[in-house]
Amino acid sequence: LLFRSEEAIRSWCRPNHLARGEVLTLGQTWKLAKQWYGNRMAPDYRGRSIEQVAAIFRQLDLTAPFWDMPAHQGVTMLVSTSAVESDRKAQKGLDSGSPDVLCAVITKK
Amino acid sequence: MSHELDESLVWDVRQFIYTHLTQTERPPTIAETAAHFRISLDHAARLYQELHDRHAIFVDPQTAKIRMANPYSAVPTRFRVFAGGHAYWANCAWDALGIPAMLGADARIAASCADNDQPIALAIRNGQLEGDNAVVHFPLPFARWYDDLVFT
Repeated sequence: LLFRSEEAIRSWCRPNHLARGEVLTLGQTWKLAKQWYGNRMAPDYRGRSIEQVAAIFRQLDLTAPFWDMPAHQGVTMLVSTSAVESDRKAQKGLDSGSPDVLCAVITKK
Repeated sequence: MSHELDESLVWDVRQFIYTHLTQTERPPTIAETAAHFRISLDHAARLYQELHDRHAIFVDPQTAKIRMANPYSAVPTRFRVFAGGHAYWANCAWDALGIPAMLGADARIAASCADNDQPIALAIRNGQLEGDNAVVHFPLPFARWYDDLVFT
């Protein structure tokens, strides 16, 4: 959600009974958008593993618990077989095809 | 279900959806996808559901139509993105910036503040962000984003 200012966030949270979440500048969000969506049109897109998502967050210094993967919070995340295969190739130094979108099945324990 | 589907066709359909959206500003219907790949309507619908299950697109359960193929939105939102001679809807601030990131294009973004509806104008020119000062609020932690994707 986009807000004019921090005060506008507080004003929005109050009536919605929501706690303030995480706030990024537009500059940070642009960097995140480039990492997240930069190759989404690639013909060899095959999804993104949870490890790849975590790596993007780390790279952008998004290290607060807010950005933790579900597995850290009592949730098991299974990635698509194609994304797992991409990870295996990457670990072997092969071309992973730069898979993009998070492609996961979340199963709560 | 997935074991019945051709894996390469699943991703070909995904690519077709994104290309169609980019070129026409709207997602293909099940009938258009079925015609393009010369498959049955039922087969196309199952492929949409498979992509939904993999979080590659979001299919509205009420209408069976594509509601999101992030960063694109198939329904009007607060985020209008003008890029490459087209006008797209984005799902959120992140996705509004995601469209020029994905297309590698300059863009003009007309958005508004979620609290007071004040207009917020942004632009991407030569890979650089320009425009109003604003902040992006993520109300839900990452672990809960897929609990309710529309709210997120």
